[in-house]
Amino acid sequence: MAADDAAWLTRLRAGDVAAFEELVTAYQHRVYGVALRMLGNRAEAEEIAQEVFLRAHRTLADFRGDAKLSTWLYAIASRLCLTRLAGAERRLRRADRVDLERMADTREHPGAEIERSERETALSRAIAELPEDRRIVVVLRDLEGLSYEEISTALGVELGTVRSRLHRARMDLKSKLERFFA
Amino acid sequence: MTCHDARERFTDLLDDVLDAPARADLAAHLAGCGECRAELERLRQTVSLLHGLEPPRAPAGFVERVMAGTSPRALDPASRARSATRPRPLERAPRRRFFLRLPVDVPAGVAAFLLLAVGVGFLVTRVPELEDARRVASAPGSAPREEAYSPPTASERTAASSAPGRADGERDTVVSERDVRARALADRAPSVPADTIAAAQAPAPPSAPAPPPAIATAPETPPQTALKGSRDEARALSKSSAARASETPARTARVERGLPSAITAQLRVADRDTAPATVINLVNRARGVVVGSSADGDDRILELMIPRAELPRLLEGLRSVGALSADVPADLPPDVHLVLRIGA
Repeated sequence: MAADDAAWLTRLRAGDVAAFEELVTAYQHRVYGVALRMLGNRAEAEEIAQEVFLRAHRTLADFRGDAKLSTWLYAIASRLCLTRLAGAERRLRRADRVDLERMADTREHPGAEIERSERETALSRAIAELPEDRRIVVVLRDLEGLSYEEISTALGVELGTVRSRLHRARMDLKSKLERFFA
Repeated sequence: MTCHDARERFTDLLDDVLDAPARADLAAHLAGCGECRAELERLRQTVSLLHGLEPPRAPAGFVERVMAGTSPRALDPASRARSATRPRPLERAPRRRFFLRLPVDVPAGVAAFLLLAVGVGFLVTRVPELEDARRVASAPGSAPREEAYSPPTASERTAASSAPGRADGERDTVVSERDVRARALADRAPSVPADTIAAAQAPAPPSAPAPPPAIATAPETPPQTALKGSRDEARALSKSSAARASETPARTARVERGLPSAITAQLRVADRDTAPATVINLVNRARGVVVGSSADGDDRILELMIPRAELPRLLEGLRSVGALSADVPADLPPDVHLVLRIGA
Protein backbone atom coordinates (compact mmCIF):
# COMPACT_ATOMS: atom_id res chain seq x y z
CA MET A 1 0.00 0.00 0.00
CA ALA A 2 1.41 3.38 -0.99
CA ALA A 3 2.31 5.86 1.74
CA ASP A 4 -0.14 8.37 0.30
CA ASP A 5 -2.90 5.80 0.42
CA ALA A 6 -2.02 4.96 4.02
CA ALA A 7 -2.18 8.60 5.08
CA TRP A 8 -5.39 9.04 3.18
CA LEU A 9 -6.89 5.97 4.77
CA THR A 10 -5.94 7.22 8.21
CA ARG A 11 -7.80 10.44 7.55
CA LEU A 12 -10.77 8.57 6.15
CA ARG A 13 -10.95 6.31 9.17
CA ALA A 14 -10.71 9.33 11.43
CA GLY A 15 -13.94 10.55 9.88
CA ASP A 16 -12.43 13.29 7.76
CA VAL A 17 -15.25 14.26 5.44
CA ALA A 18 -12.90 16.28 3.25
CA ALA A 19 -10.75 13.18 2.78
CA PHE A 20 -13.75 11.19 1.61
CA GLU A 21 -14.74 13.95 -0.78
CA GLU A 22 -11.19 13.93 -2.13
CA LEU A 23 -11.48 10.19 -2.63
CA VAL A 24 -14.71 10.57 -4.60
CA THR A 25 -13.29 13.45 -6.59
CA ALA A 26 -10.09 11.57 -7.40
CA TYR A 27 -11.76 8.32 -8.48
CA GLN A 28 -15.13 9.43 -9.80
CA HIS A 29 -14.17 9.33 -13.47
CA ARG A 30 -12.37 6.01 -13.22
CA VAL A 31 -15.15 4.28 -11.31
CA TYR A 32 -17.80 5.78 -13.56
CA GLY A 33 -15.73 4.84 -16.62
CA VAL A 34 -15.59 1.19 -15.58
CA ALA A 35 -19.33 1.17 -14.91
CA LEU A 36 -20.16 2.80 -18.24
CA ARG A 37 -17.89 0.50 -20.21
CA MET A 38 -19.38 -2.50 -18.50
CA LEU A 39 -23.03 -1.50 -18.52
CA GLY A 40 -23.22 0.76 -21.55
CA ASN A 41 -25.86 2.97 -20.03
CA ARG A 42 -25.15 6.34 -18.47
CA ALA A 43 -27.92 6.36 -15.88
CA GLU A 44 -27.13 2.84 -14.77
CA ALA A 45 -23.40 3.61 -14.72
CA GLU A 46 -23.94 6.60 -12.46
CA GLU A 47 -26.16 4.58 -10.17
CA ILE A 48 -23.54 1.86 -9.84
CA ALA A 49 -20.69 4.36 -9.45
CA GLN A 50 -22.55 6.06 -6.62
CA GLU A 51 -23.18 2.70 -5.02
CA VAL A 52 -19.46 1.92 -5.22
CA PHE A 53 -18.61 4.99 -3.16
CA LEU A 54 -21.44 4.45 -0.71
CA ARG A 55 -20.29 0.89 -0.10
CA ALA A 56 -16.73 2.06 0.25
CA HIS A 57 -17.92 4.63 2.76
CA ARG A 58 -19.79 2.03 4.78
CA THR A 59 -16.85 -0.37 4.92
CA LEU A 60 -13.94 2.04 5.20
CA ALA A 61 -13.57 1.41 8.91
CA ASP A 62 -12.93 -2.25 8.24
CA PHE A 63 -10.73 -1.88 5.17
CA ARG A 64 -7.45 -3.47 6.20
CA GLY A 65 -5.38 -1.73 3.60
CA ASP A 66 -3.76 -4.84 2.14
CA ALA A 67 -4.63 -3.62 -1.35
CA LYS A 68 -4.39 -0.11 -2.74
CA LEU A 69 -7.43 2.09 -2.26
CA SER A 70 -7.81 2.25 -6.03
CA THR A 71 -7.72 -1.55 -6.38
CA TRP A 72 -10.29 -1.81 -3.64
CA LEU A 73 -12.60 0.62 -5.43
CA TYR A 74 -12.09 -1.19 -8.74
CA ALA A 75 -12.90 -4.46 -6.96
CA ILE A 76 -16.18 -3.10 -5.66
CA ALA A 77 -17.02 -1.51 -9.01
CA SER A 78 -16.22 -4.70 -10.94
CA ARG A 79 -18.28 -6.88 -8.69
CA LEU A 80 -21.26 -4.55 -8.71
CA CYS A 81 -21.17 -4.33 -12.50
CA LEU A 82 -20.89 -8.08 -12.95
CA THR A 83 -23.68 -8.65 -10.46
CA ARG A 84 -25.87 -6.16 -12.27
CA LEU A 85 -25.12 -7.77 -15.61
CA ALA A 86 -25.90 -11.20 -14.22
CA GLY A 87 -29.36 -10.06 -13.16
CA ALA A 88 -32.11 -11.69 -15.18
CA GLU A 89 -33.89 -8.38 -15.65
CA ARG A 90 -30.74 -6.76 -17.01
CA ARG A 91 -30.18 -9.56 -19.49
CA LEU A 92 -33.54 -8.93 -21.08
CA ARG A 93 -32.71 -5.35 -21.92
CA ARG A 94 -31.36 -4.65 -25.33
CA ALA A 95 -30.98 -0.85 -25.53
CA ASP A 96 -27.94 -0.70 -23.33
CA ARG A 97 -25.30 0.08 -25.89
CA VAL A 98 -26.91 3.23 -27.16
CA ASP A 99 -25.10 5.48 -24.72
CA LEU A 100 -21.73 3.98 -25.54
CA GLU A 101 -22.22 4.64 -29.22
CA ARG A 102 -23.36 8.16 -28.49
CA MET A 103 -20.41 8.62 -26.21
CA ALA A 104 -18.00 8.07 -29.07
CA ASP A 105 -20.08 10.23 -31.35
CA THR A 106 -20.74 13.40 -29.39
CA ARG A 107 -18.28 15.79 -30.99
CA GLU A 108 -18.08 17.45 -34.36
CA HIS A 109 -16.58 15.39 -37.15
CA PRO A 110 -14.59 17.58 -39.46
CA GLY A 111 -12.18 15.82 -41.80
CA ALA A 112 -9.94 13.22 -40.21
CA GLU A 113 -12.02 13.25 -37.07
CA ILE A 114 -14.70 11.30 -38.88
CA GLU A 115 -12.53 8.26 -39.23
CA ARG A 116 -11.37 8.49 -35.65
CA SER A 117 -14.94 8.79 -34.45
CA GLU A 118 -15.99 5.77 -36.50
CA ARG A 119 -13.09 3.81 -35.11
CA GLU A 120 -13.94 4.74 -31.54
CA THR A 121 -17.58 3.90 -32.10
CA ALA A 122 -16.65 0.53 -33.51
CA LEU A 123 -14.22 -0.08 -30.68
CA SER A 124 -16.76 0.86 -28.02
CA ARG A 125 -19.29 -1.43 -29.64
CA ALA A 126 -16.78 -4.25 -29.85
CA ILE A 127 -15.91 -3.85 -26.17
CA ALA A 128 -19.60 -3.90 -25.29
CA GLU A 129 -20.02 -7.14 -27.23
CA LEU A 130 -17.28 -8.96 -25.36
CA PRO A 131 -18.35 -11.59 -22.84
CA GLU A 132 -18.58 -9.92 -19.44
CA ASP A 133 -15.71 -11.79 -17.80
CA ARG A 134 -13.39 -10.78 -20.63
CA ARG A 135 -14.77 -7.27 -20.91
CA ILE A 136 -14.00 -6.42 -17.28
CA VAL A 137 -10.41 -7.60 -17.70
CA VAL A 138 -9.78 -5.57 -20.84
CA VAL A 139 -11.43 -2.51 -19.27
CA LEU A 140 -9.28 -2.75 -16.15
CA ARG A 141 -6.09 -3.48 -18.09
CA ASP A 142 -6.24 -1.46 -21.27
CA LEU A 143 -8.55 1.39 -20.29
CA GLU A 144 -7.72 1.78 -16.61
CA GLY A 145 -4.12 0.61 -16.68
CA LEU A 146 -4.18 -1.86 -13.81
CA SER A 147 -1.41 -4.44 -13.55
CA TYR A 148 -2.17 -8.14 -13.88
CA GLU A 149 -1.69 -8.52 -10.13
CA GLU A 150 -4.10 -5.72 -9.35
CA ILE A 151 -6.70 -7.21 -11.67
CA SER A 152 -6.20 -10.59 -10.05
CA THR A 153 -6.83 -9.04 -6.63
CA ALA A 154 -9.75 -6.92 -7.79
CA LEU A 155 -11.55 -9.80 -9.47
CA GLY A 156 -10.44 -12.54 -7.14
CA VAL A 157 -9.13 -14.71 -9.97
CA GLU A 158 -5.74 -16.25 -10.59
CA LEU A 159 -3.07 -14.47 -12.63
CA GLY A 160 -3.26 -17.09 -15.36
CA THR A 161 -6.96 -16.45 -15.71
CA VAL A 162 -6.33 -12.74 -16.06
CA ARG A 163 -3.78 -13.34 -18.82
CA SER A 164 -5.98 -15.77 -20.64
CA ARG A 165 -9.10 -13.59 -20.52
CA LEU A 166 -7.17 -10.53 -21.57
CA HIS A 167 -5.65 -12.31 -24.53
CA ARG A 168 -9.02 -13.66 -25.68
CA ALA A 169 -10.58 -10.23 -25.30
CA ARG A 170 -7.88 -8.52 -27.32
CA MET A 171 -8.04 -11.13 -30.07
CA ASP A 172 -11.83 -10.69 -30.24
CA LEU A 173 -11.44 -6.96 -30.56
CA LYS A 174 -8.76 -7.30 -33.20
CA SER A 175 -10.95 -9.46 -35.37
CA LYS A 176 -13.77 -6.90 -35.17
CA LEU A 177 -11.56 -3.93 -35.97
CA GLU A 178 -9.48 -5.32 -38.78
CA ARG A 179 -11.15 -3.10 -41.37
CA PHE A 180 -9.51 -0.09 -39.73
CA PHE A 181 -6.02 -1.47 -40.03
CA ALA A 182 -3.91 -0.76 -43.04
CA MET B 1 6.88 -23.48 -31.98
CA THR B 2 3.62 -23.51 -33.98
CA CYS B 3 1.80 -20.38 -35.14
CA HIS B 4 -0.93 -21.12 -32.58
CA ASP B 5 1.60 -21.32 -29.76
CA ALA B 6 3.23 -18.13 -30.92
CA ARG B 7 -0.05 -16.20 -31.09
CA GLU B 8 -1.04 -17.37 -27.63
CA ARG B 9 1.96 -15.42 -26.35
CA PHE B 10 1.28 -12.16 -28.14
CA THR B 11 -0.49 -10.51 -25.23
CA ASP B 12 2.31 -11.44 -22.86
CA LEU B 13 4.81 -10.07 -25.36
CA LEU B 14 2.97 -6.77 -25.74
CA ASP B 15 2.62 -6.39 -21.97
CA ASP B 16 6.25 -7.31 -21.46
CA VAL B 17 5.54 -10.16 -19.08
CA LEU B 18 7.22 -12.87 -21.12
CA ASP B 19 10.31 -14.44 -19.60
CA ALA B 20 13.58 -14.40 -21.54
CA PRO B 21 13.54 -17.96 -22.94
CA ALA B 22 9.93 -17.65 -24.10
CA ARG B 23 10.68 -14.30 -25.67
CA ALA B 24 13.63 -15.79 -27.55
CA ASP B 25 11.50 -18.68 -28.83
CA LEU B 26 8.82 -16.30 -30.00
CA ALA B 27 11.32 -14.00 -31.68
CA ALA B 28 12.75 -16.98 -33.55
CA HIS B 29 9.30 -17.96 -34.78
CA LEU B 30 8.38 -14.42 -35.82
CA ALA B 31 11.60 -14.07 -37.76
CA GLY B 32 10.47 -16.85 -40.06
CA CYS B 33 6.67 -16.32 -40.16
CA GLY B 34 5.25 -13.32 -41.99
CA GLU B 35 1.65 -14.23 -41.12
CA CYS B 36 2.35 -14.15 -37.42
CA ARG B 37 4.25 -10.87 -37.75
CA ALA B 38 1.22 -9.33 -39.48
CA GLU B 39 -1.09 -10.79 -36.85
CA LEU B 40 1.09 -9.36 -34.08
CA GLU B 41 1.06 -5.97 -35.73
CA ARG B 42 -2.76 -5.97 -35.92
CA LEU B 43 -2.98 -6.90 -32.26
CA ARG B 44 -0.51 -4.15 -31.41
CA GLN B 45 -2.71 -1.64 -33.25
CA THR B 46 -5.79 -2.92 -31.42
CA VAL B 47 -4.15 -2.40 -28.05
CA SER B 48 -2.95 1.00 -29.19
CA LEU B 49 -6.52 1.92 -30.11
CA LEU B 50 -7.73 0.79 -26.72
CA HIS B 51 -5.12 2.90 -24.96
CA GLY B 52 -6.11 5.90 -27.04
CA LEU B 53 -9.79 5.61 -26.26
CA GLU B 54 -11.04 8.73 -24.56
CA PRO B 55 -12.00 7.89 -20.98
CA PRO B 56 -15.58 8.70 -20.02
CA ARG B 57 -16.07 11.40 -17.44
CA ALA B 58 -18.50 11.24 -14.57
CA PRO B 59 -21.44 13.61 -15.07
CA ALA B 60 -21.40 17.06 -13.50
CA GLY B 61 -22.49 17.08 -9.87
CA PHE B 62 -21.53 13.46 -9.32
CA VAL B 63 -19.37 14.19 -6.27
CA GLU B 64 -22.11 16.31 -4.71
CA ARG B 65 -24.65 13.57 -5.23
CA VAL B 66 -22.40 10.98 -3.61
CA MET B 67 -21.65 13.27 -0.69
CA ALA B 68 -25.34 14.01 -0.26
CA GLY B 69 -26.00 10.29 0.02
CA THR B 70 -23.24 10.01 2.58
CA SER B 71 -24.13 11.72 5.78
CA PRO B 72 -21.07 13.56 7.09
CA ARG B 73 -21.99 12.36 10.57
CA ALA B 74 -21.71 8.80 9.42
CA LEU B 75 -17.94 9.32 8.99
CA ASP B 76 -17.62 10.49 12.55
CA PRO B 77 -16.79 7.41 14.63
CA ALA B 78 -18.54 8.84 17.68
CA SER B 79 -21.80 9.22 15.84
CA ARG B 80 -21.64 5.99 13.85
CA ALA B 81 -23.15 4.02 16.67
CA ARG B 82 -26.11 6.37 16.84
CA SER B 83 -26.61 6.52 13.11
CA ALA B 84 -25.96 2.86 12.33
CA THR B 85 -29.55 1.82 12.71
CA ARG B 86 -31.06 5.00 11.35
CA PRO B 87 -32.37 5.31 7.83
CA ARG B 88 -30.33 7.31 5.39
CA PRO B 89 -30.69 11.08 5.28
CA LEU B 90 -32.78 10.84 2.13
CA GLU B 91 -35.34 8.71 3.92
CA ARG B 92 -35.30 10.98 6.94
CA ALA B 93 -35.83 14.15 4.97
CA PRO B 94 -39.67 14.24 4.98
CA ARG B 95 -39.78 13.80 8.75
CA ARG B 96 -37.20 16.51 9.27
CA ARG B 97 -39.22 19.06 7.39
CA PHE B 98 -41.68 19.24 10.27
CA PHE B 99 -39.08 20.17 12.82
CA LEU B 100 -36.97 23.19 13.44
CA ARG B 101 -33.51 22.63 12.01
CA LEU B 102 -30.72 23.95 14.18
CA PRO B 103 -27.44 25.20 12.70
CA VAL B 104 -25.62 22.64 14.84
CA ASP B 105 -26.40 19.04 15.55
CA VAL B 106 -27.56 18.50 19.12
CA PRO B 107 -27.83 14.90 20.33
CA ALA B 108 -31.45 14.08 21.10
CA GLY B 109 -30.66 13.09 24.67
CA VAL B 110 -28.88 16.36 25.42
CA ALA B 111 -31.67 18.36 23.82
CA ALA B 112 -34.29 16.52 25.87
CA PHE B 113 -32.33 17.02 29.05
CA LEU B 114 -31.91 20.75 28.43
CA LEU B 115 -35.61 21.12 27.69
CA LEU B 116 -36.39 19.30 30.89
CA ALA B 117 -34.00 21.50 32.85
CA VAL B 118 -35.65 24.64 31.48
CA GLY B 119 -39.06 23.18 32.27
CA VAL B 120 -38.01 22.42 35.84
CA GLY B 121 -36.64 25.93 36.24
CA PHE B 122 -39.91 27.34 34.98
CA LEU B 123 -41.91 25.18 37.37
CA VAL B 124 -39.75 26.14 40.33
CA THR B 125 -40.35 29.82 39.73
CA ARG B 126 -44.07 29.41 38.98
CA VAL B 127 -45.31 26.84 41.50
CA PRO B 128 -45.50 28.42 44.98
CA GLU B 129 -44.66 25.23 46.85
CA LEU B 130 -41.59 24.62 44.75
CA GLU B 131 -40.50 28.19 45.03
CA ASP B 132 -40.80 27.91 48.83
CA ALA B 133 -38.70 24.79 48.80
CA ARG B 134 -36.06 26.54 46.74
CA ARG B 135 -36.00 29.50 49.14
CA VAL B 136 -35.66 27.19 52.11
CA ALA B 137 -32.81 25.40 50.46
CA SER B 138 -30.90 28.52 49.52
CA ALA B 139 -31.76 30.89 52.40
CA PRO B 140 -28.75 32.15 54.36
CA GLY B 141 -28.78 30.87 57.92
CA SER B 142 -31.00 28.01 57.09
CA ALA B 143 -29.90 24.49 57.70
CA PRO B 144 -26.89 23.45 55.68
CA ARG B 145 -27.75 22.10 52.28
CA GLU B 146 -26.63 18.62 53.22
CA GLU B 147 -29.19 18.62 56.02
CA ALA B 148 -32.02 20.08 53.95
CA TYR B 149 -31.85 17.26 51.48
CA SER B 150 -29.45 14.64 50.23
CA PRO B 151 -26.74 16.14 48.07
CA PRO B 152 -26.29 14.77 44.60
CA THR B 153 -24.14 11.71 44.68
CA ALA B 154 -20.74 11.68 43.09
CA SER B 155 -22.04 9.43 40.35
CA GLU B 156 -24.87 11.84 39.61
CA ARG B 157 -22.39 14.64 39.25
CA THR B 158 -20.25 12.49 37.03
CA ALA B 159 -23.27 11.74 34.87
CA ALA B 160 -24.12 15.41 34.69
CA SER B 161 -20.58 16.45 33.90
CA SER B 162 -20.32 13.84 31.16
CA ALA B 163 -23.17 15.41 29.27
CA PRO B 164 -21.56 17.16 26.32
CA GLY B 165 -22.02 20.75 25.30
CA ARG B 166 -22.72 22.27 28.69
CA ALA B 167 -20.71 24.62 30.90
CA ASP B 168 -19.74 23.52 34.41
CA GLY B 169 -21.94 26.10 36.11
CA GLU B 170 -24.85 25.00 34.03
CA ARG B 171 -24.33 21.40 35.05
CA ASP B 172 -24.45 22.30 38.71
CA THR B 173 -27.61 24.31 38.15
CA VAL B 174 -29.28 21.42 36.45
CA VAL B 175 -28.35 18.98 39.18
CA SER B 176 -29.48 21.22 42.02
CA GLU B 177 -32.76 22.02 40.29
CA ARG B 178 -33.33 18.33 39.98
CA ASP B 179 -32.63 17.82 43.67
CA VAL B 180 -34.81 20.74 44.70
CA ARG B 181 -37.67 19.47 42.68
CA ALA B 182 -37.25 15.95 44.01
CA ARG B 183 -37.05 17.16 47.55
CA ALA B 184 -40.06 19.44 47.25
CA LEU B 185 -42.24 16.81 45.70
CA ALA B 186 -41.07 14.23 48.20
CA ASP B 187 -42.17 16.59 50.97
CA ARG B 188 -45.54 17.04 49.33
CA ALA B 189 -46.05 13.36 48.83
CA PRO B 190 -45.02 11.61 52.02
CA SER B 191 -46.41 8.35 50.71
CA VAL B 192 -43.41 8.21 48.41
CA PRO B 193 -40.44 7.19 50.51
CA ALA B 194 -37.23 9.05 49.89
CA ASP B 195 -35.36 5.81 49.27
CA THR B 196 -37.55 5.18 46.25
CA ILE B 197 -36.46 8.46 44.76
CA ALA B 198 -32.88 7.68 45.57
CA ALA B 199 -33.20 4.21 44.09
CA ALA B 200 -34.75 5.53 40.92
CA GLN B 201 -32.08 8.19 40.58
CA ALA B 202 -29.21 5.88 41.40
CA PRO B 203 -26.97 4.99 38.51
CA ALA B 204 -26.37 1.44 37.36
CA PRO B 205 -24.70 -0.88 39.87
CA PRO B 206 -20.95 -0.34 40.22
CA SER B 207 -20.25 -3.69 38.57
CA ALA B 208 -22.03 -2.62 35.41
CA PRO B 209 -19.78 -1.04 32.77
CA ALA B 210 -20.69 2.49 31.84
CA PRO B 211 -22.65 2.59 28.59
CA PRO B 212 -20.79 3.97 25.59
CA PRO B 213 -20.81 7.77 25.59
CA ALA B 214 -21.97 7.78 21.99
CA ILE B 215 -25.22 6.21 23.10
CA ALA B 216 -25.65 7.41 26.65
CA THR B 217 -25.90 11.11 25.96
CA ALA B 218 -28.87 11.46 28.28
CA PRO B 219 -28.91 10.68 31.98
CA GLU B 220 -29.93 7.09 32.58
CA THR B 221 -32.69 8.16 34.94
CA PRO B 222 -34.91 10.97 33.82
CA PRO B 223 -36.01 12.98 36.87
CA GLN B 224 -39.68 12.69 36.04
CA THR B 225 -39.48 8.95 36.49
CA ALA B 226 -38.35 9.39 40.05
CA LEU B 227 -40.98 12.00 40.68
CA LYS B 228 -43.74 9.55 39.92
CA GLY B 229 -42.56 7.78 42.99
CA SER B 230 -43.41 4.33 41.84
CA ARG B 231 -41.41 1.42 43.21
CA ASP B 232 -42.32 -0.63 40.18
CA GLU B 233 -40.85 1.93 37.89
CA ALA B 234 -37.72 2.10 39.94
CA ARG B 235 -37.41 -1.67 39.71
CA ALA B 236 -38.08 -1.62 35.98
CA LEU B 237 -35.44 1.01 35.57
CA SER B 238 -32.86 -0.97 37.42
CA LYS B 239 -33.76 -4.02 35.36
CA SER B 240 -33.23 -2.08 32.18
CA SER B 241 -29.84 -0.85 33.38
CA ALA B 242 -28.90 -4.40 34.23
CA ALA B 243 -30.04 -5.58 30.83
CA ARG B 244 -27.87 -2.97 29.15
CA ALA B 245 -24.96 -3.90 31.35
CA SER B 246 -25.34 -7.56 30.49
CA GLU B 247 -24.92 -7.02 26.76
CA THR B 248 -21.98 -8.96 25.47
CA PRO B 249 -18.73 -7.04 25.08
CA ALA B 250 -18.62 -7.99 21.39
CA ARG B 251 -22.02 -6.47 20.80
CA THR B 252 -21.08 -3.33 22.70
CA ALA B 253 -17.83 -3.03 20.80
CA ARG B 254 -19.67 -3.38 17.54
CA VAL B 255 -22.12 -0.68 18.43
CA GLU B 256 -19.30 1.57 19.57
CA ARG B 257 -17.39 1.11 16.37
CA GLY B 258 -20.46 1.49 14.24
CA LEU B 259 -21.77 -1.08 11.82
CA PRO B 260 -20.85 -2.65 9.58
CA SER B 261 -18.01 -4.34 11.41
CA ALA B 262 -15.98 -7.20 10.12
CA ILE B 263 -16.84 -10.74 10.99
CA THR B 264 -13.78 -12.84 11.47
CA ALA B 265 -13.80 -16.48 10.54
CA GLN B 266 -11.24 -19.23 10.40
CA LEU B 267 -11.18 -22.05 7.93
CA ARG B 268 -8.99 -25.03 8.64
CA VAL B 269 -8.23 -26.97 5.49
CA ALA B 270 -6.17 -29.98 4.47
CA ASP B 271 -4.61 -28.26 1.47
CA ARG B 272 -3.71 -24.61 2.01
CA ASP B 273 -2.49 -24.18 -1.55
CA THR B 274 -5.73 -24.98 -3.35
CA ALA B 275 -8.21 -23.82 -0.73
CA PRO B 276 -7.99 -20.06 -1.49
CA ALA B 277 -8.97 -20.61 -5.13
CA THR B 278 -11.92 -22.75 -4.03
CA VAL B 279 -12.96 -20.09 -1.54
CA ILE B 280 -12.72 -17.36 -4.18
CA ASN B 281 -14.98 -19.39 -6.45
CA LEU B 282 -17.49 -19.69 -3.63
CA VAL B 283 -17.28 -15.95 -3.02
CA ASN B 284 -17.91 -15.26 -6.69
CA ARG B 285 -20.90 -17.58 -6.68
CA ALA B 286 -22.22 -15.78 -3.62
CA ARG B 287 -22.04 -12.50 -5.55
CA GLY B 288 -19.34 -11.36 -3.15
CA VAL B 289 -16.07 -9.61 -3.78
CA VAL B 290 -12.53 -10.18 -2.56
CA VAL B 291 -11.35 -6.77 -1.45
CA GLY B 292 -8.04 -7.81 0.03
CA SER B 293 -5.69 -10.71 0.28
CA SER B 294 -2.61 -11.17 2.41
CA ALA B 295 -0.42 -13.83 3.98
CA ASP B 296 0.23 -14.27 7.67
CA GLY B 297 2.91 -16.88 8.02
CA ASP B 298 1.53 -19.95 6.28
CA ASP B 299 -2.04 -18.70 6.58
CA ARG B 300 -3.82 -16.79 3.87
CA ILE B 301 -6.18 -14.00 4.89
CA LEU B 302 -8.95 -13.02 2.52
CA GLU B 303 -10.97 -9.89 3.07
CA LEU B 304 -14.42 -10.36 1.59
CA MET B 305 -17.57 -8.36 1.10
CA ILE B 306 -20.71 -10.47 0.79
CA PRO B 307 -24.37 -9.50 0.40
CA ARG B 308 -26.13 -10.42 3.63
CA ALA B 309 -28.62 -12.67 1.85
CA GLU B 310 -25.79 -14.73 0.37
CA LEU B 311 -23.82 -15.20 3.58
CA PRO B 312 -25.51 -18.46 4.70
CA ARG B 313 -24.82 -19.97 1.28
CA LEU B 314 -21.19 -18.94 1.45
CA LEU B 315 -20.75 -20.30 4.96
CA GLU B 316 -22.31 -23.57 3.90
CA GLY B 317 -19.90 -23.74 0.97
CA LEU B 318 -16.94 -22.97 3.24
CA ARG B 319 -17.95 -25.80 5.56
CA SER B 320 -17.67 -28.17 2.66
CA VAL B 321 -14.09 -26.98 2.10
CA GLY B 322 -12.86 -27.36 5.68
CA ALA B 323 -13.58 -26.85 9.36
CA LEU B 324 -15.11 -23.43 9.72
CA SER B 325 -15.36 -21.40 12.89
CA ALA B 326 -17.21 -18.13 12.62
CA ASP B 327 -19.13 -16.02 15.05
CA VAL B 328 -21.96 -14.53 13.04
CA PRO B 329 -24.06 -11.95 14.85
CA ALA B 330 -27.80 -11.76 14.31
CA ASP B 331 -27.91 -8.15 13.16
CA LEU B 332 -25.87 -7.95 9.99
CA PRO B 333 -25.49 -4.96 7.67
CA PRO B 334 -26.59 -5.34 4.03
CA ASP B 335 -22.96 -5.78 2.97
CA VAL B 336 -21.20 -8.15 5.30
CA HIS B 337 -17.49 -7.62 5.68
CA LEU B 338 -15.83 -10.95 6.35
CA VAL B 339 -12.17 -11.49 7.19
CA LEU B 340 -11.40 -15.13 6.57
CA ARG B 341 -8.21 -16.78 7.71
CA ILE B 342 -7.37 -19.95 5.82
CA GLY B 343 -4.94 -22.24 7.58
CA ALA B 344 -4.14 -25.84 8.26
